[in-house]
Amino acid sequence: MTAPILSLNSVTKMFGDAVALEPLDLAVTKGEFIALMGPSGCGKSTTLRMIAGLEQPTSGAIKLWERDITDLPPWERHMPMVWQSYALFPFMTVRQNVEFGLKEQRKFTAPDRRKKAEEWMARLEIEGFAARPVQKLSGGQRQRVALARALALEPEILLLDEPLSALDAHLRLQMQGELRRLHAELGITFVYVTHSQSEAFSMADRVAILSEGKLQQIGSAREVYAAPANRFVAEFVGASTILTGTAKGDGVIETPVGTFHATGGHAPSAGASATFLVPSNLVDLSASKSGAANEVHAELLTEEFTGAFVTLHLKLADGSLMKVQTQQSDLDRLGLNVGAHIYASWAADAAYILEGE
Amino acid sequence: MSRGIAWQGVWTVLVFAFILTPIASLVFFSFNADRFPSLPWGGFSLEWYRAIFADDTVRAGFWRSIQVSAFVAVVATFIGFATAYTDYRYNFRGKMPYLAIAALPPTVPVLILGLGMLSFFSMVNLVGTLRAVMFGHVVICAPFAMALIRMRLADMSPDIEPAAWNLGASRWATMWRVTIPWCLPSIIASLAITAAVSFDEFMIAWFVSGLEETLPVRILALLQGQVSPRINAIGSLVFFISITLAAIGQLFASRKESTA
Repeated sequence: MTAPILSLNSVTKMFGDAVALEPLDLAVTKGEFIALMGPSGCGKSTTLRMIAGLEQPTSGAIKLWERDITDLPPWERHMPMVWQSYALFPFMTVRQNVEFGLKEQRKFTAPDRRKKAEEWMARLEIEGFAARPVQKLSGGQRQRVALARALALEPEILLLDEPLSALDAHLRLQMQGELRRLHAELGITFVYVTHSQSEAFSMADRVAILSEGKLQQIGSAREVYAAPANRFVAEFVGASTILTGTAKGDGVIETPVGTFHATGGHAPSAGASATFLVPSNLVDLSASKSGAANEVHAELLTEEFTGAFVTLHLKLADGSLMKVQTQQSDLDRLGLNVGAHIYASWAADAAYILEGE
Repeated sequence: MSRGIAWQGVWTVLVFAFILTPIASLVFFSFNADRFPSLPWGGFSLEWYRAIFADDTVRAGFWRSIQVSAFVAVVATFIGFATAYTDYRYNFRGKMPYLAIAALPPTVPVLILGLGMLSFFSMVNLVGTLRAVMFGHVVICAPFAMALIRMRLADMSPDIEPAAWNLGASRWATMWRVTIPWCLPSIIASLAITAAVSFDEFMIAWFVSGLEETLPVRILALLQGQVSPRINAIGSLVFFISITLAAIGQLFASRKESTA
């Protein structure tokens, strides 16, 4: 494995007595698109700010190409950031904003600077607004200016702090595509902070999931999705129903809503408590009892229509909820209404048993 | 309903008339050829203006007041900016007392301030100098500057300065390229308003100026000597200078835009 471009070695952060980040080790490969994801207060933004030099770690070291930059001030790190609030300079035009960082580099003459700014404005399709004050721009346009301003520095690493969360849904999707395209074309390393699973999973090569200042899992979207490291990750990803019971050995787990066979994931020792996941897209529904091995009786609570797919929320016998994703056509075939009684079943190898618990 | 609004209009006009009539009559009679400020109108004349411009003591006082207010505007605005920025950027133990002390001078009765300055300046051998007036005025003006600039800084997004650092601008570069340009309207407002306060200020100047009389001190001395329509002319001039400065201050202080 090649040396990481950026590495965090046991980096921690305390705010007074509060732990914002427990010792975090992270190695980012050159050219990678890595997402730090988690609910608010999980430490993801603090981590990004420490990488940028805007917060000082309480302990640990941050290295850029093996060089310790922990004590380097932000203006010497050359890792421009795209902010959730855009943080554009309000009294400047678009062009002045884009040229801001270039001016500090002092290696460009005024015409070079101008040319470079033009190039990046053209690339982000904002050259038409060059002379406009940034306050006259829409949110989407502002975010493009922020991107141009950061990318004009031609950095090795670009930091992005929830860059899309202030945009409306349509624009967010469009910008996601654009960010992915830019990442592929430029070969720059992206470190992307988000609370949105869909953003992280659709764009990033690797996703690091944090909760309460602790790294829960790091891996590709596929890995995290298929094999969540623990209950938190499974809940955060939200793609499965989580059932807990007692392991009886040989993959048999007894739960309050029935006894099931589960062969995917880890093998719990007999007698121990065991938690397993039922992926919501691998559940079969039938109106009457089918006699399948893993079958549970449920009541249809709500349905959420999302295009070709429908997400159903079922209530199990003990009151816990089950999520099922199915096709609209299957639902029509069953002719189900809210409140209907229904049987849900899944294959033993579809269920995934979590480690521990 | 419309009657109510009409009454409100009348009432507003009455209040303004109450406030402005003395000033209006001062300006009005400064152009009156008669010696006494009374009707009937004795004819338009610039005689009293000619008279005050011919008076060396008034000219000297006017010049001193301009020097003092120019110095005070710059120094008080600088101190005000520094204080406001410290409050904006840093959190430290004792921040509340620090701000309270910084805002204190205007709450002390000017008479007490003037007396205090008289005794202090006499200890350091500054009494009777124009510098004493300048320092005294800086003390009362700096809190106004701080208040104005602090209001402006409060509207600056907390991400703006870090964004500049992140783009490679050192603290100093950020100060010059981002913070000061952002604060510029409030800095101009502060320059105008502190200049106006200093230009008008009588009490401290009277205590510490000695023979270096500023214009307000000179005016009072004139009044004590004789009642002359020249007073109306000086009064009008002072009024227009102050109101212009205050208007500039208002214009810039009320500028609003967000950093988002």
